[in-house]
Amino acid sequence: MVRYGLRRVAQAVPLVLGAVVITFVLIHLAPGDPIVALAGEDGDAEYYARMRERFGLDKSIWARLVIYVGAVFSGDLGFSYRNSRPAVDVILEHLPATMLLLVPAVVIAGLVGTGLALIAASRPHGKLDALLSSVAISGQVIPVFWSAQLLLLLFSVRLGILPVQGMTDVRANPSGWAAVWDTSRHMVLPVTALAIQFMAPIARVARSRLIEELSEPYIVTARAKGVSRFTVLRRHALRNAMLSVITVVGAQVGFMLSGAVLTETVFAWPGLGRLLLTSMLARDYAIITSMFLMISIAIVGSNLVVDLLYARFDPRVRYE
Amino acid sequence: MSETLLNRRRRRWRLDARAVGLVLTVAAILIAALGALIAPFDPFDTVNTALLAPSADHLLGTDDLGRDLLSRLVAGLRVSLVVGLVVALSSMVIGGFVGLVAGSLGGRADDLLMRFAELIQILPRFFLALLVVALFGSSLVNLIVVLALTSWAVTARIMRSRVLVVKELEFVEASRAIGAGDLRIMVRSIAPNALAPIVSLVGLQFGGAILVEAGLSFLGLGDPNVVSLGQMLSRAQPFMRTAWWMAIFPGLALAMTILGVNLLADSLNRFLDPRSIGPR
Repeated sequence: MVRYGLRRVAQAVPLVLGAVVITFVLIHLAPGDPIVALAGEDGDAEYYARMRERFGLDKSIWARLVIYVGAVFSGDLGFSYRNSRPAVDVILEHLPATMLLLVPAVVIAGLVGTGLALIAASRPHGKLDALLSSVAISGQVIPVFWSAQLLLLLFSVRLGILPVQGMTDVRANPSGWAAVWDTSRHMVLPVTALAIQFMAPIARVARSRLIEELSEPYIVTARAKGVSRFTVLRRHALRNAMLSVITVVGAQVGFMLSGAVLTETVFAWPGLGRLLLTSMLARDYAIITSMFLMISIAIVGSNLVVDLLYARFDPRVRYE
Repeated sequence: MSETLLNRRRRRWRLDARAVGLVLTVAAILIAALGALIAPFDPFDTVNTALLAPSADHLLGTDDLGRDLLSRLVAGLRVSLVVGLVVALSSMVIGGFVGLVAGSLGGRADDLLMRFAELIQILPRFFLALLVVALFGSSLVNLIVVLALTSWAVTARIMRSRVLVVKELEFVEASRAIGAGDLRIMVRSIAPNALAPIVSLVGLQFGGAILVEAGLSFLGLGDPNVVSLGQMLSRAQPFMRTAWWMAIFPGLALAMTILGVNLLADSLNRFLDPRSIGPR
């Protein structure tokens, strides 16, 4: 297990390095002189030269690449001019608000998606299965920002039972439990929109894995011993199918974050999405590059965790 | 439940899905191609009062600047289809080529190409596209190039795994026996027989590319010189209370198009690879 783990970690390093190199190449291919952008167009040649030296831009591209990679690995992803602070700090500050939407959405999607898959798999290719399959497909094809708008249109604008936008009610300014209640009410619609989107792939994979599992001989054995259909499904098949659900969740981290950014925009949620937009408007590129890098690293990391979990629960993987 | 009954149920659901997929895809193409017949207005021009509800003059109403919503929807659909088509085709061409080379050559070349594919596959496409748009400017061409350059990895992996199977088959050996060279075997014997599974990936790539384009334009980062369904949806946002049609129709067009190509690809997959119908 330890050897397998080390090998997996070693395989993840070049992926992170690759993402860093791609980012570097993109920044350097981009049109426009960063010094002119920073110092303005009317600086004299000497000033430009001094700036170039200060930022290491007079060195060869290879030297700069090495410096950049070194900086990234020591946690320095760039400086946000708009916030006058390291980009990493600014991003980490906006992360909790996004997590407040993402974590409940993933948990709900996992539970409901697996539940629907259980129902569908208990009678494969029946009417209910067909219905649930269509629901899963629609979750996959509807852009998350549109389903978010539809929810907003229905529950906030038409029915008026949930708040329209934001994270808290600015006018009431509640405190204590009232504040928790207030924020939860604001969370309902964005979390629902995200959960619907995340649920689709989970339900699809869980269903096909469950049906696959159900045709295994050990299921027949359990049934022959008199275990009920439902218990077999829940205790035997589900347990073995759960691993693929974890894999789906782990493989979708990038997709989930882009979903969160889009959903936040619809609901004016003060998370990474808003940070991204304000940074784009202010041409604060350090934030955007850093966010891309951090998300890439998060994806490599989550894939690694999923692989290790898989190996932990399914010993066959370790010996491949 | 008897096996035949199960199969019949399965077949009926499949048939429906295929029909729906075909109808939706053809409808999207027809609307994009012949849209001028039903929506004769300039999508960029103010043609009437702002925020008119759907009526006989403007079938889908007008937007906040008094532009005909249907004309804009047609223009936006065209952009979506072009993005989807170009990205899907280049994913097939690049991925097919890389997979063919990796699978046929094997060894170090295979290792290297597959590691590279792995790197491309983990990159968050949406945020990469966002970064490129931020650094290089928001033009449709930039966006299509990024998406095309990052969508081939899955195709390449699947193509490679098929090539590995096909190249061990007897007819490949037979053509080697009659004196065919490596290149000829790769192009004439292996490639055509390994292509089937990646054809059905086209639909997924198509839908995925449309979604990324729509998402970026929704954030206001799309090409300002073209009409985009995502951008129409973001314009609708401040008018949710007064003009529901601005949010409903462009979203419907997006969802239906993606649903159509997905279903079509799914049934194409089953048609090209009958084995996938088996117990799944």
